[in-house]
Amino acid sequence: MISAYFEPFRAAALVEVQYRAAALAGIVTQFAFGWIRMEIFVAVLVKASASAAAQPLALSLRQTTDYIWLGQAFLMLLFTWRVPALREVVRSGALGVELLRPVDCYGFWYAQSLARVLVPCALRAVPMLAICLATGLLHPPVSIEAGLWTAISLAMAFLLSTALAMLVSTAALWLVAGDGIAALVPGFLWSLSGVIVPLAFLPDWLRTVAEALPFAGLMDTPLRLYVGAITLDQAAGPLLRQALWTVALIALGWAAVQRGLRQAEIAGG
Amino acid sequence: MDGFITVSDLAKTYYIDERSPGMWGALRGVLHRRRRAVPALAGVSFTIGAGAIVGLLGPNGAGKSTAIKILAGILRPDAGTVTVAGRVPWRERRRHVAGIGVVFGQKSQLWWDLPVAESFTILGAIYRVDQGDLARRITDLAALLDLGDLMARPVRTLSLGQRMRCELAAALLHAPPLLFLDEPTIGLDAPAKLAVRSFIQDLNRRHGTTVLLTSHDLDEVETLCPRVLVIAGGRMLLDGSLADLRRRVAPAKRVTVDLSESAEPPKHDGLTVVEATARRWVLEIDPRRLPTPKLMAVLAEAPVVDLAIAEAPIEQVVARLYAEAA
Amino acid sequence: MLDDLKLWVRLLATAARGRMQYRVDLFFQILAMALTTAADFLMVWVLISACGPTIGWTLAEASLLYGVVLVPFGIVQFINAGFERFHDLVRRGQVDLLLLRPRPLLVLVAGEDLPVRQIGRLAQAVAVFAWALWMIPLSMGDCLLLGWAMAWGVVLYLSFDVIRAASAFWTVEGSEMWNVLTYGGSMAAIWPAEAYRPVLRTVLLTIVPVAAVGWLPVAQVLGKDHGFPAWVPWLAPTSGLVLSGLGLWLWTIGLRRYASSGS
Repeated sequence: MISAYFEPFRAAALVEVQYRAAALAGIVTQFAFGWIRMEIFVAVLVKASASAAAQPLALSLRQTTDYIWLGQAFLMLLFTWRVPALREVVRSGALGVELLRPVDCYGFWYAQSLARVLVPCALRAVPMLAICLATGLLHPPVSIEAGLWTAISLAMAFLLSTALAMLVSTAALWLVAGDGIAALVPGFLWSLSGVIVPLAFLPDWLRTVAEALPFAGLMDTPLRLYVGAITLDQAAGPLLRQALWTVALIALGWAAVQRGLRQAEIAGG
Repeated sequence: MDGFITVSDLAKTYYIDERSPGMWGALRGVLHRRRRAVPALAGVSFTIGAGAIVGLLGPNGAGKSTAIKILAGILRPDAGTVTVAGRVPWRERRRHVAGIGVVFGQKSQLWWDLPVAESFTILGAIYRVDQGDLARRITDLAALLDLGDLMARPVRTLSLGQRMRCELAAALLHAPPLLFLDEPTIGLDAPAKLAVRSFIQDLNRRHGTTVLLTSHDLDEVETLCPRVLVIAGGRMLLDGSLADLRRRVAPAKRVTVDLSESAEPPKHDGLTVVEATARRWVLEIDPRRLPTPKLMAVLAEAPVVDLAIAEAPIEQVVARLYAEAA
Repeated sequence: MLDDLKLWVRLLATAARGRMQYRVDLFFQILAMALTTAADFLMVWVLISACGPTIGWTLAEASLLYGVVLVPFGIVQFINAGFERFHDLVRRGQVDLLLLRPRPLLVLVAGEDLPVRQIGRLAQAVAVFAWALWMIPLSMGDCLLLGWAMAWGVVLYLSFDVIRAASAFWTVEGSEMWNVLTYGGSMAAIWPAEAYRPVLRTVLLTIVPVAAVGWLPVAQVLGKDHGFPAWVPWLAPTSGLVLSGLGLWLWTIGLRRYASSGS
């Protein structure tokens, strides 16, 4: 039963592994953007912490640069448009064959999509982390436990990213304004996941909103665990939110696919 | 010799970067390039007079599209001279392309999301066609190609055959005296193919448009082009009619003989017996060693009731020619 | 020349009509683009308010810089998107089709696309800029300097696009690396360059002169110490001219190379 889902995952992963030259270009690009982002924050934070009048910072300089580089390494978690649309999967015919077998359509698509998110991201993240750690741009996690929880939270971020992308692309199928809503998601994602501004720097009211939304779980939660901005005894809340959103989006996505398929049958598709 | 298109000793070699697979290969490729030379044309010469329809044949990768690209002015050859209507195409690209029309069977020059009519208007502006002339030509072309209902439809909603008719019209809005057609009927069904063919013939007859056509459909070439150029391996294999080609390759003919009584098949140089039953022989004849009149003499003694001579299909002839070249 | 300019406008109008076919999502696409690009303003706002007066720029002042940089950038992203797609056009062999048209390739490529959603980026930048203008009293001379700088900003960002596109004549791979020049450049430019460490500041004033076109004139207008004589902010924006010359030169030799390599 598990192998029925592992097969599409493996097939998609094998395709993605081939794009190593693209990964190289991506690494160079992500480094350059990381450098620019780092310079902006360093410029501000060095001055702010030197000033006597300054209020304490939400993240220290070291925490901020660690946050930025780890975020750059896993930037592709936010590239949700790379997940194949349900239409594509159906058109490729792979699903048609699988529908004959007792395999869940959503599960099949999820396995494929996860590979499309995970593999290119890993191809960039692993060399980037190695270089960043070796050059001291990035410090090791504050403790072994923090590292462990970061890994768990990152794994969840992959599951969440995949589920979010799939829900958005399915909603586009049967909501009138679906395509529009699908277009809006990257906008929120960019502003409220922490990739441009670590959420800790946001004013309280906006941070509360951002942390309640699923986007924080894509990037901010694992990064804050890593830099120790969330201590381990405080970690239960954010991790639980991340897990709940993952489960909720998978459930919603599954229901949306069921409904989408029923409509396709009625339409004779 | 004075021609509308004059090509002599045309040569073009491509250099392809070779790269080792994998990420390190990509990295090494940046630092140190290994290049492999692939000759596409190795000295080709021909002349085409104004008003001719000429077919350009050759196996895949033979240099056909390279030749077309050079003649269209978008590619610069390594050696040789080309003049088209008195101009060197790649030296004066803009002036040159204003006088040619090109249709690529596998690419579209229309605006995908817009109605056909809008593509025509903007193309008219690109080619600086006078408003009145443009309106007149659109009306004429729409009538000839039966575009009436298609004009208001977005290009993406057209079938391949419908789109190809629109592509032809689009390539002719500026009334070019020279038309290049690269596989114009690829993927079309039989009626659509016939429509395109008869339009091309008509255009050539009425306006004296010179047409250079590439196609893998040899029936099409045979009906449209009194003259064909066959290129393979970057060289000119044949410049003449398809009948010349047949004569030169001279493939075996198949002769079926029905008999009134059983008899022993004849023996002769150039004659092979494929099948011999009581009432029928199937013979293969090499026309170079045994021309048809001589065959008649050989068969004179036999109890022949009926006799059928089949020419080898043109595909077989051309395939033989390509095979000889390879 | 004028004729080619007219054609460019016409091609853009045609491209926009093509985009308008999908009218339903247009509104959302514009809104989404505004939201995405507003993340940059969020950063400016958050950093200024979290770190208070230590930076030496008020939010209104930083917004003025933001507008001077991103309004020209938004204009270019809107009208010049054909160049951003150029790698793709080369890869799919569409450039051959464009070369069959009796007009300069530069004009034909520039007229390939008019992405209506980019209005969102532009509108967002204009809104911030308008607010800054309302907050900060400016003299006639100040306005003149800012307008001068923004006009050169358009030239500079157009040049970036041409340089990026010209690279496709050599290789179509790694086109995303050029985002560093365009998006990275504009991102670095929205923050006051005097705060940067010398390496980045020097890069932004010379090789990728986004700060020469944005920060220098704005700092002058606001009476900040930028460390240069007062005439420099007037002259510096013309560095866009150098880059546009470079862009056109690369485009010309690239096109010649393309015509002889045929790849």
